[in-house]
Amino acid sequence: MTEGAPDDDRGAGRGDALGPSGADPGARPGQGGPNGRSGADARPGLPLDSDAVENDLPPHLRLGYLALVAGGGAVGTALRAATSLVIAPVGQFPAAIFGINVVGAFVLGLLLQTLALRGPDVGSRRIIRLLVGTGVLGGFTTYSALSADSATLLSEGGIGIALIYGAATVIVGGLASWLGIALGSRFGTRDGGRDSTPASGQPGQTGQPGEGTR
Amino acid sequence: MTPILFVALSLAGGLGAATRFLVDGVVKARIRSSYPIGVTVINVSGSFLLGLLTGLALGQVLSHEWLLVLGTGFLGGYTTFSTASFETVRLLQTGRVGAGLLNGVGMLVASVAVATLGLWLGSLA
Repeated sequence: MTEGAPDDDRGAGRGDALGPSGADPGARPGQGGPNGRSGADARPGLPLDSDAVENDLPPHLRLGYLALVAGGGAVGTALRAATSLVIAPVGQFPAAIFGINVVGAFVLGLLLQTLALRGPDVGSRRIIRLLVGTGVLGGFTTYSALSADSATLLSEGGIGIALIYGAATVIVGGLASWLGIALGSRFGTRDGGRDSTPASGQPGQTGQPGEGTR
Repeated sequence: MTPILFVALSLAGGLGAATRFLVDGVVKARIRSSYPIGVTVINVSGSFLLGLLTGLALGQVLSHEWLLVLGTGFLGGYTTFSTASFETVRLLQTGRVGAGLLNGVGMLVASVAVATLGLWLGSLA
């Protein structure tokens, strides 16, 4: 309980915003406590509900969190596979993966910024972040298809389309992330933002003003 | 795609996502840096592996079904674009332009390079 706590006392500040990916801020160096380095020694037999025991572990070694991410990841992967079946390539351009990555980048920006402004990364906010952010959106979007498809295009002589694909994904995806973050800032700071985007959660429910990321 | 293949692919994606969460946590616990190194490690390694699997599939060493489960499923869930893009924008917004460009453009160049290497290695088999 003593050393295990650091991940819980980090607010929604900058460090949090930079470390939303797979892991938790608490898993960062210097805060990991005794478990930080010997992380590989997960105790595999722990039951999911043994929070008192699991609190000593860094988040990425807690079975409950791993299960949340896995469940969300399976859903996200299913959505990606289904989308790929429906959206055909435009010429050689992998339109499905491009669209998936852009949409996922937008929604993740919106989600993480909204969560960060509503309060520290604990409790239900952390569960939503891991399930929907790290899990569903992390599994929905993908990087390996982007790079492997680009490599295949390059090997087939499609240098132009590979460059367009890569550049468009990074640039449009970055703009989508930025837009999501900007919208999330509105939802997080205003009570029930006027735009009722479904992903914004409960528009009527106001979070704490929160320690803002900006 | 058969329903069973679809389910297997999805479950493999869940496993991949959990692996990403684990690897990212382990990397961050070991490497002291505010640069998002975890996702870089994940995306570059996953890109190499997908290139390799794709090369193996092109050479008929790996079946199309296994490519879907291991590649589209596991490696697709393991690697991620949304977090990489989010972190790039965050770096740029906090004035770390060089780090942001490295995370955005550098990661793509490195990933395509290792995917090409994997594709070539796989085609040798």
